[in-house]
Order: sequence, then structure tokens, then C-alpha cells
Amino acid sequence: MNLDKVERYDWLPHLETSIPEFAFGDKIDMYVMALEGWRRGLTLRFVGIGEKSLVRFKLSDGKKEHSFSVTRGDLVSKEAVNICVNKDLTKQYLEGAEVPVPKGYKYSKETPLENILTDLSELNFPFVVKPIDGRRGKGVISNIQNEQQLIDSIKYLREDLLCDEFIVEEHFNGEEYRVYIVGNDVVGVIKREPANIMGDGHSTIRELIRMKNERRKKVPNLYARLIKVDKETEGILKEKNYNLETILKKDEKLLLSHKANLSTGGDSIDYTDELPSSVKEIAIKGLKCVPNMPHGGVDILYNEETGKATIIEINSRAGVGGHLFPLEGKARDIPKAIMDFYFPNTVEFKRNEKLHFDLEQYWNLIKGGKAKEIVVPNVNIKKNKTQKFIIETESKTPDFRKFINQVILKRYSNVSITIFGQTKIEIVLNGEQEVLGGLKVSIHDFFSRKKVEYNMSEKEYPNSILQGVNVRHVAKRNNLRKQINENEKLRKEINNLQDLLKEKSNEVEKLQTSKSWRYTKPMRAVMGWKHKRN
Amino acid sequence: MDNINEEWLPHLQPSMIENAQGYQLDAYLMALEGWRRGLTLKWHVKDSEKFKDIRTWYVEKPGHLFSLSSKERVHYFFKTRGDLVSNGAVDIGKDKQQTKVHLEREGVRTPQGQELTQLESIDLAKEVANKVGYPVVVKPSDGSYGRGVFTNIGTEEDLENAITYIQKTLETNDIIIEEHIPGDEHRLYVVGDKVVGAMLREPANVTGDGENTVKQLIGIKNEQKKRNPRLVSCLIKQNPETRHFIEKQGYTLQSVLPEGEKLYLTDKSNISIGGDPISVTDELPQTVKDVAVAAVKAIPGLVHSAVDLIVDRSGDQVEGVVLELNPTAQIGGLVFPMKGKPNDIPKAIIDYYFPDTEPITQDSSKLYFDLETVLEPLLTRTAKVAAMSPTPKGELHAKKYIVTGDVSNHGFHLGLRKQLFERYLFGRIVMLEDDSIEVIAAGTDPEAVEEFKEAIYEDPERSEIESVTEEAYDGALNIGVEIKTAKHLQLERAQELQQSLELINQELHSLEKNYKTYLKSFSWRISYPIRLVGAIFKSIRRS
Repeated sequence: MNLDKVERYDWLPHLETSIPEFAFGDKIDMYVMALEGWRRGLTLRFVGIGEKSLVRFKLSDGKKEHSFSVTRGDLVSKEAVNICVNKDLTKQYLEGAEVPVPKGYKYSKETPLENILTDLSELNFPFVVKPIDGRRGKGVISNIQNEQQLIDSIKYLREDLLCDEFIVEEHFNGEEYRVYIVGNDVVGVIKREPANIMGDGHSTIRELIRMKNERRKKVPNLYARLIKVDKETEGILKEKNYNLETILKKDEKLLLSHKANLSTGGDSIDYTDELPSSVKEIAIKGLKCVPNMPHGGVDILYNEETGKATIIEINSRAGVGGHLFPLEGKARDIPKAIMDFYFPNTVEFKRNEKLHFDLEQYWNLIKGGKAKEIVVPNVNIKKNKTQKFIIETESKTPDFRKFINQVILKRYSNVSITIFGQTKIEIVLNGEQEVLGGLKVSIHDFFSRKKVEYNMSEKEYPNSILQGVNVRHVAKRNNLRKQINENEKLRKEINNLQDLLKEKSNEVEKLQTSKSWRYTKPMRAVMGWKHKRN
Repeated sequence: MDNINEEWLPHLQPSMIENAQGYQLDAYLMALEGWRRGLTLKWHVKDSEKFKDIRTWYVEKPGHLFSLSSKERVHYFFKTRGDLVSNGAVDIGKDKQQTKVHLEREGVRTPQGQELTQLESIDLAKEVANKVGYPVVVKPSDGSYGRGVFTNIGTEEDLENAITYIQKTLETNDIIIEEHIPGDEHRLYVVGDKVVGAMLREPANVTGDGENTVKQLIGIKNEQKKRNPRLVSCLIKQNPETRHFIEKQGYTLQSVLPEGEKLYLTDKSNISIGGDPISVTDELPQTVKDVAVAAVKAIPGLVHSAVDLIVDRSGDQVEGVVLELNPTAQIGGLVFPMKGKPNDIPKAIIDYYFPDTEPITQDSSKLYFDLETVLEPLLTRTAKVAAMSPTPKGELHAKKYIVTGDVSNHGFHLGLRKQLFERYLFGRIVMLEDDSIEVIAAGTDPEAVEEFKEAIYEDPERSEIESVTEEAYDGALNIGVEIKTAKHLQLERAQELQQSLELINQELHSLEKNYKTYLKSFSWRISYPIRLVGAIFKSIRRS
């Protein structure tokens, strides 16, 4: 799929034509990570884990293999993962290393409400309440201004979300950033803004949300993360005395949520060069205090006015989509940084940016319970090129299928073929110069053997193509009715041929038993031997 | 007609193997046995992993190469041959002369004779034939599928004709002349030091019923063969050779064969050209079996193999004379014989490679997999290795639900698939003729199977359910979840139609070729009206 260039995003060119629509949404992180390793020539395998067949991937350079769960590789220890999952535990480690965290406490199911209120009287409103193991901002209630709101929030968490353990802490006034760290380096920072729209002076809020969502649908990692109008949104609108039909003034920015998560409609804006190094240092220090955690995403709140920052979360499987496809600013190649870290000997390798793979096929086989493991063929990282050959024949050629079976499937690995009816075929082939030359010879040999006249033109093909052999019929639409009709036609043809066959075999039999045939038997014997000797 | 087998080994029902007929059958039978025992099954492309070092051939298409592994070991297989058979043994097996040398060294009887390499003078051949003593057998040194094998040659003239044929048609001058052993051709399969299956290979034949013509009898026999998983691709052909062979016996295709009379249609016993595999594992004398075991032992590095031998009953003792060893043998005829007890060769071979594995259970014997689906990425070169999902561990429970109402929405079917997954179940969703659907839910948790019934109702947006009937299901189970909806069915039908279209075109083609030989012959001058028909025939074919 072509990423939308109309928006003039500053995204990575090598990902522009290499992300199949299937990989949009949840699967984007796994896809870009696996793609980065595979394009370096590493051996890529997808495996299904457990009865639920969770899809994971492994990369190997022949000497060592690393397995990955989305963006997290096996150099991140289990212990580190457990610490990250538990927000209270994370805080303990951070506090121990004197990294700033919001002041607050952890409570369990049993803690009486009075005790909580007594504890918190030492701290200052506003508060944030969050489940200890929440993900993607689920159950987080921020900007709690007074005791009543606090009591309501705790009740909601305990009774509606059935949350046993949660944290109450001071609300830190600042904006949210995700800092991605690999080794000792910050390799990308995005600022995460809560879902928002910008007025143009003539569109209603409803229209602006729709337009923003249209834009989000074209961004690989935001594809399924649209702005939703929920209770929170309605509350915000009510506060401002707006409703969905209100026309927003030009350049008025309206925040539609308090949460900055991308999954709840938030935006990602690249801030890698802008975030002060003092804040980056805090993030690095924060990640380092978790044992055996060489890479990960640190969520940090930073107040530009006061210069203060505080870490609110550390993610071991942080998404990289926000860094690769920011709505504003420059893309940062996090997958490259992670692969460099896991396979330092491949840092210098030139990746083959002309091929990508068909995640859908592997996914369906593994998720469908058919296969447990699929090893993807390695890519060639030597000098290679993609060339498009357009072949047009004079007469109708029913032989394209034969051509594909006898020539393409036997000899070529990375080729996309489009068949247009019976007189035109397009072949897009990736390979080294000899491979491309070889195809031309094969084409010539095949069609001249079949005595078919053809014209061929060729040109360099700029986009990435799917690895493997892919055949597409343009004339054959994927239409059920049409297929039924076609089958009916085939059936009739077969019936006709069967009649013909019967008729002919009767003829032949008659001929055999005919007098003339029997009379000439001795001669045939002679002729037969002669025939064989010739 | 004779009593023909339509009963197979209970764990190898035709429905389980219909997706692996023809050239894929052997590997599939082997792989299925290993997989059902809980071994990890992986399919490989050419030269993947250890296959670089193993003798294989014609493996551009996937489906011949696979590996099986337990915790302790991995074994690689090319069709029925595993990696415990050495390359050296394979090379000896391919060379008939070398095989003979090894067999004779160990005292295994083989037909007496001589190999003539780079034969130039026919006189030399005559000399050898005289020394061996007529009748003799003439065949190319390097041959398979019975091509160019001439048996029971009684005269110098026939000898000359046969040699000319081999030289011209097969383009080889390496020829073997050996004594003709009277008797029936058998194939025995030996694993270690045991014969695990034996069959008589009868040349293509029909038995008369006093009513049908030879031609009709062939048709009937072929219908029977079509119901046999191995023989469906080995039908009896009616070509000029067949006719000639029948004519020699005083019949034509139009003759009505007397009741009980058996007519052979060729003298070649190959299954692939219409021969009958008849299982004789229990009937064959031990002496013959001992010969087969000794033959396998005589070849260094050969631990399992098929042994082709002639059972010579002419002397005082029944004797086995070994013709050939085939380490990469097709086993379909032994597993699915036309008559006699089926032989579980895959079990015997897998036992040999993985002696510590448990035999397949009642439950795992119902499981199979769809070969085409798993080979697809190998075929399109989007994968090098594909490992199958393992068989579920534990007792299996399965239910069949027939759901009626407005249930044809594909999204609904996908939703049902998801519901199956979420309960760790597998099965299938099939659209029936009357637009209702059949849902099979299977798994190791009986509660989950039971609960699934509720899940059927959970998608009112995409379905309107009238009724759900349930029954216990005891049939074959394809691993994973399969959705066969209207579109799939039509596409499948299209594939079937394409295949039969190709088949008919082939038949027409060979008919046309036949026709041409008649026209070429002398008789065309006296039979001019038929030429006219031929012209019409051609013009139809071209349009």
C-alpha cells in the first residue's frame, strides 16, 4: 500500500511501498521489526506459541537466534518485564535510583476508604488514579480535583472495573512524552497529545472529528485507533458549552480527551531533537534502574515552564509506530536501532529495500491452527534490481498458466505477475542482473517454442514487491456470481468434449475393426518397425 | 467380478487422504503417521537443512521432503526413505548391475545374466543370450516404471527388435540380458530384519462375466480403481500396445469374455500402468521372506527398502529370485491393496526411526491435515520450511451442529472461527446445499465443546438463526479451522472442472495421436471416407 504522500509526512522512504494493508493496526510493530531484520538477510521465522497460537518471530544470523514478542527481544529479561507490568514495582525501582516519580501510594482491595483518604491528606490535589497493571491508558482517571471525585473514581475502579490493586498519586502538570532508548541512547522521542481537532472556521466538531479520523485511517499504526466520542468527550464539550454541531473557530485547538494514549485517539509528534537532554538523561536513568532492560520506551511527563519531569511508566513492548509514522515531524528508525543492538555484526549490511513479505499468509496459517512455524526464505542483500516486463501477444494465448507453471514457478522466487485477459501479462521480477537477463531468455524460449508472436517492453520498477511468487488475474474478478457462471460454462464445455470423445473413440474403433484395417495388418507391422528405426 | 477391497486401515480412510493423491501419497502417509504420534512435522523445500546432503530427485515441487523430530532426534525423509538409508545404498539401488554384485556376494539368488555397456554389436548380445539360455529378459541398465523391459524373449529376432527399441526410444546402449525366471512378480517391504508387507503384482487384467466386452470390463475395473486411494491415478489404458497384446490372445476389445476367464492386458506388472496389487503378507512362504531380508542386508547402509522379486515355484522348493531393490519405493499398493489385507508400512518405518514413540491412539487416528494448505507457502516460495501444528494432546471431544436460518454471511463464519479459537477448539464451518451450515467443533475440553453451542447465537447482527441441532461427531477431523463457504465451494468446483477438462483434452489428444498413426499407415488409401471425419475432427479441436 502506498502511504499517503499528500500529507507530506517526513516518513522513511524504505517503508513507503512495503507495508501491506494487512499489517496496519495492531500488527504494524511486529511487521516493521521482522521486516528490518529480514531485509538485512537474517533468517526470519514466525512461530505460534501455546494453544492460542500467539504469533511471535525469531531472527537468526546462523550463529545466534533472538526471539521477539512485538518490539521486545529476548535480551530484555523476564524480571524486567514483570517490573514494567506492575506500575507500583516500577515506581519502587525508580525511587530507589532517585529518579523522579509522582508522589502517591498503592492500595489493595481490602484497604478501607478512610485509610486512603487519611494517607492522601498529606498530598495535594489534583490526583490520578490508575490500576496497577493497566495497559494503553485503560482505567486511568486523571485530573481528580476533590475528595468527592476521588471517592467516585475509586468506587468506579473497584466496582465497575473489578480492579484489585491501584495507585493514587499526585497529578503532575506537564505534557506526555515517549522516549525510546536502546542501549545508552535515546533513539526517538514523540510527544503524545490527547485526541484533538483544529478548527477551520466552517466545519462542525462532528465534521472535524470525521476528517481527523479519515487522516488517521491512512497512518499504519493509527489505522484502527480512531477518535471516539464517549462520555469523557461529551463531558469536555459540555464544560466548554459546545456540542457536536458547534462550528469551531479557525485555529482553535480542541482537546477531546485527557488521555494522551495513541490508542484513545491521541497524536504522535516527533520531539527527538526538541526534548532537552536533561529530560532525556532522566529517561535513560529510569530505564537503567530496571535490571536487564537494554531497550524500551519510557513515558515521561515534562513541564516546559518549570523544567521539571517525572517518569510515569516504562514499557517493555513499546510500540514503534508513533516514531515511524508521526503526524508531525521526522520519522525515527527505531527498528533499525533495535536490530543494530541485537545483531551488531549486521550494522553495516545494506538492507534489501526492494522486497517485503506477506504477513497475512503466515498469520492465517498459524492463527488458523494449520502451521506451528514458518521459515521465510532469506533475502539476497547483494546488488539487486526490480524490473517490470510487459508482454503483449498478437493472438489469444491460453498458455500464460503453463508459462507460470513451467517457467516462473520452477526458476524464480521474487516475482509478481499480473495477467490481463489472454493477450497481456506483466511480470515484475526482483533479482541480480543475471536473474533478470535469464527471465528474458526464458520468455523468448517459451513463446517461440509455442510459436506465439509477442512484444515486450521493460522498465525499472521503483516500489518494493512481495517476496515469493504472486499471481493476480485482472480479468477474473473475485465475484461469486461470475465464478458460478464460469463454472457452468466449463461444465458445458466438458460435456461437449465428452460427447466428442465418445463419438471419436467409436470412429476409431470402427476403423480398427474395419476390413481395410485388418487386411493391412501385415503391412502395418512392417511399417511400424520401419517407423521405430527411423 | 472378484472381491475387491473397499475397506482400508481404519486410520487411513479415503476422506483423510484425498488431498494427497498421486505423487504426494507416499510422503503424506509417512508424515501423517509421524505427526499423529506427536512428532514435530516440518515440510521442506529443496536443499533445505540436511536435504543438501541427501540423495533426492524431482523435488522442485514441495511435498516430498519432510522432517520428523522428537525431543531426542530429528530424521529427514524423502518420500518413504529416511536418512538412516545411506546415499551409498541409494546409489547401489539405482544401478541394477551393482545391486546384483552385492546380492550375489551374499548368496542371494538373482537372475543370471550380463550387463552390456556401450553395446554396439548385436552379435555380442546374441552371444550373451545364447550363454544365458532362452527365454531371456532384456532391459536398460538404468530404468524405472517398467519402461523398455522385455520379458520372455524366445528368439534372436525378438531379441534384436527389443534391443533396437531400447536403443532408439530410450537412447541408451547400456543393456542387461538375463535369464527369464518363470513365476509371479512380488514386492516385499523390509524394515530392519522383518518383512512388514508383501504383495503380488499382477499385470493389468480383467475377468470375464459372460456379458460385458473386454472394453466394458476395463471400464468397470477402472471404476473400481478410482475408489482406491492409490490406484485412482493408475488406471488401465487402452493403447495400441494393449490391443496388440489382446489380439495375440485371440480377442479384441469388442469380444465378450466368457465368465470366469481372466485376460491379461499386458505382461508388465507395474502398478502405475494398471497392475493389481494383491496383498499376500500372511500367505507368502517364510523362505521367500528370508530372501528379501537377506537382500536388504546385503547392501551396506540399507536398513529399509522394497524388494522386487519373482517367486519361482517351478522347482521342488518355492524360491525367491531378487530382481531389484528400491530404497525409495512407493508403498501405496501395499497400504491400499486391491485384494488382501492392507499393510501398515508407514507404521513400521516410523517405529524403526522413532522406537520410543507411542503408537497412534484412537483419537489421533481421526486427525489429519490439509496438505495443500500447508504446502502453499512452499509452492509460492514464500517459505522454506513450514512446521505443522501439533496434534492436540488429550482425549478428543467433537460435536456436529447443523445451523439453519439466514446463516450465509461470511463475516458470521469468520466470527464462528474466532469463537472456536477462543475456546481452543478446532473444526470446520461448511455451507450446505440448502444454505444451512454444518459446524464441527472439536477439542480436548468437553465443556468448551458444549459451550460452543451458545456462541453460535452470539452474532445476531450477521445471522438470523432458526434452529441448531446437535449430534456427537466421530468422523475424521482436519486440524485447524476450515471455512468452506459458497465461494470456496465454487472455486473448488472450478478447480475440479479445470482438472477434468485437462483430462479430457489429454484423452482427446491421445486419441488424435492414435488416429494419426492409422492415417499414416498404408490403409488410409483404402479408407478415404474416414479421412474426411478426421478433417472435421481436427477443425473442431482447433476452434
